[in-house]
Amino acid sequence: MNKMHTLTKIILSAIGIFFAIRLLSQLPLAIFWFYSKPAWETAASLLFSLLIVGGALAALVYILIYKRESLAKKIVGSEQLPEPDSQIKWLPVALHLVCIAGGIYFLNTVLWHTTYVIGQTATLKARNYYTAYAPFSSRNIIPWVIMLICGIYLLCGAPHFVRWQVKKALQQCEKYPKIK
Amino acid sequence: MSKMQIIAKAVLTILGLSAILNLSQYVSTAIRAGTDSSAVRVFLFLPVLIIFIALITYLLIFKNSRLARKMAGPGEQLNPENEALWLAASLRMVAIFYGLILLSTSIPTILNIIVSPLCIRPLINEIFTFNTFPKSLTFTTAQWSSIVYNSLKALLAVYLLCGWPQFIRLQLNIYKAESPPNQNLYTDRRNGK
Repeated sequence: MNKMHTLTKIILSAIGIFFAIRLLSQLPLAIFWFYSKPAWETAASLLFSLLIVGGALAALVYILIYKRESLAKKIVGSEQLPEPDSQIKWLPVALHLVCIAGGIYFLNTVLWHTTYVIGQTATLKARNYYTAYAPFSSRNIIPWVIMLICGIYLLCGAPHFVRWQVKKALQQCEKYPKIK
Repeated sequence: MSKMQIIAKAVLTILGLSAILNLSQYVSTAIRAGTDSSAVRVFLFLPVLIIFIALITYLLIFKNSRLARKMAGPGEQLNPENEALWLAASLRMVAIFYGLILLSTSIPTILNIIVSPLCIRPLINEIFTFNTFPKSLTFTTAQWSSIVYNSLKALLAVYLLCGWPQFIRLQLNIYKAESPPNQNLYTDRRNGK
C-alpha cells in the first residue's frame, strides 16, 4: 500500500458519497409523483423508483466504500506501485478515476431519466390523460441506451480511452521543447 | 510553480469554462426573452453578460496563475520539464472530466446532428417540388438560440474529450514565455548545453 493507493481510496470514497447524495436527492421526485395523484399506478411507480434508487445506492456504497481497497488495487495496479511523485505516472490512475466518476454520472442521469419517465407515465395513466407524449419511443430510448452503454464502459475504467489519452498527453509533452 | 499550484490552475480554468457556459445559457435565454419582452431590457442585459464572460475568460482561463498561487499557497517548486508535464496532464485531466459531464447532457444533440443529413433530403425535395420553404424548418428565435447553444455545447464536449489540444499547447507556450530564460532547460538541452 503506497501513497497512490491511499489517495485513490480517498477519491473513490468521495465519489461514492457524492453520488450517494445525488441519488438520494432523486427520491423526493418519486414521492412527488405519488402525492400529485395517489393511485395504484403512481404507487407502483414509486415502489419501482424506490427499488431502483435503493439498489443503485446499495451497489454504489458496496463498491466504492466497502470494496474500495480492491478497486484501488485494480486501478493503481499491484505490481508496479507508482508514487505520486513520479511525474507522469499518476495520469493513468487519475484518468481512470475521472472515467469512473464520469461513468457514475452517466448512470445517475440514466437512472434519473428512468424514474422520471416511469413517474410521468404513471401519473398520466392515473389521470386517464390522452397524450402524444411517448416515453418509450425510439427518440427517447436511443439516447438512454447510448448513455447506459457509455456509463458502463466508463465505470469499467475506459481502458482504451485512457490509453489513448495518456499516449496523446505524452506526445504533446514530447513536442513541447519544439514549440517556440 | 508547485504541483498544487498547477492543479489549482487547471481547476480554475475548468471552473472558468463552466461559468462561461452557464452565462452563455443566460445569453441564450435573453435572446429568447427578447421576442416577447422589451428590447431595451435585452440590450441592457446582453452587454453586462458579455462583459462578465470576457472578465471570466481573462481572469480564470488566461491569467489565472496569480490566483492559483494564492489558492494553493507556497510549495516545492518543480523544475521546468516536470512543470510542463504536470501542466499538460492536469489540464487534460480536468478537460476530460468536464467533457464527460457535458457529454452526458449532449447525447441527444449529437444524435440529432448525426441524423440531420437523413432529414435534409426530403426537405430539399419539398423545396424543389412545392417551391416553398418547409414549415418544419421555420424555427422561432427561441428554438434557434436553443439549437445554437446545444450544438456549441455538444461540440465543446467532443473537443474537451479529445484532450483540448490547442488550448493546452497555448498554455504551454504562455508558460514558456513567462518562465525565466535561465530556467528554460529545454532550450539549453536543444543547444547541447
